[in-house]
Amino acid sequence: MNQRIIYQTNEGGVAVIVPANCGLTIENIAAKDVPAGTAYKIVTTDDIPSDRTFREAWEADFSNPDGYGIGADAYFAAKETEQ
Amino acid sequence: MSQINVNTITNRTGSGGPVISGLATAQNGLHVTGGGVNVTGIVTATIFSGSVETLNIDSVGIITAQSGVHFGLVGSGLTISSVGAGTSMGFFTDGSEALRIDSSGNLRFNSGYGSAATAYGCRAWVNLDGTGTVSIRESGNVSSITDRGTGAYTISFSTSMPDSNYSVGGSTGRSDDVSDSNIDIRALNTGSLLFNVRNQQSAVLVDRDIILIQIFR
Repeated sequence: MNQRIIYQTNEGGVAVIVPANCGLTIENIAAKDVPAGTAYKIVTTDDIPSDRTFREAWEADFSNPDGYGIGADAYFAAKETEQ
Repeated sequence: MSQINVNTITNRTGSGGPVISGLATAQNGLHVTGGGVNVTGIVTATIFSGSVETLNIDSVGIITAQSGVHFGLVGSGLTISSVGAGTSMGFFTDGSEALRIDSSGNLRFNSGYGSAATAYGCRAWVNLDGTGTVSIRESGNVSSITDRGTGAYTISFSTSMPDSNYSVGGSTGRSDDVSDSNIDIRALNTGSLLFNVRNQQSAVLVDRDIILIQIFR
């Protein structure tokens, strides 16, 4: 999968989520694995620098997010309700 | 001993189904549909293929077969249930217990251990590259890994752990040099594991291209 999910950490940096081949959609993974209430964007690997020399200085614009995380507990609770 | 030769068996009026007394043979085999067939009042039941005994059910329900028992499954597959409180399922080879699922659902097996002992399976694992564009080579029960910064990662589980009292095994390596880093566990959550990779001399966070993590519970 060449997609990645990014969100801003509490420290102001950028976290990059690498989806596993687990059968979930990238939207499902974003909802589950992004912290609850945190805005995220779905990007491609081309958008992520491969040079990690200044990894802690990475920035991104989250003013127009693709969604907000709900966290693992709420995700599983919602899935349970659906069944 | 009486013998009934039948081609068709029909329901008796006012009864729950056909009744066959004695031995029955049918020209083109016996087919039972609807409610099935109940055989009562027997000590053993034996099925023959021609004159060769192929399958026997003895008085306590033990099934023996001449050439092993083969299940040909069509549709939704096979479900084997252990009925009754406190019952378990055992599988024996050459008279010795090889595998058991006990009444609590624990799987025990004897793979050269001397006895069938409870197996504690790996509940999640991942092999990842933490350098360049961070990527997962392969994984199990992992929905994603999060690159939180240099040498800082989160593993999120596809299926959460029952509690946070699990055990983690991990190692790191460098494909271009000797290994010089350790796994530093930061938080064990039911849905995720946070860890860092640190240089074992300076303790600074470092990226490594070989990061291997296993979770046991």
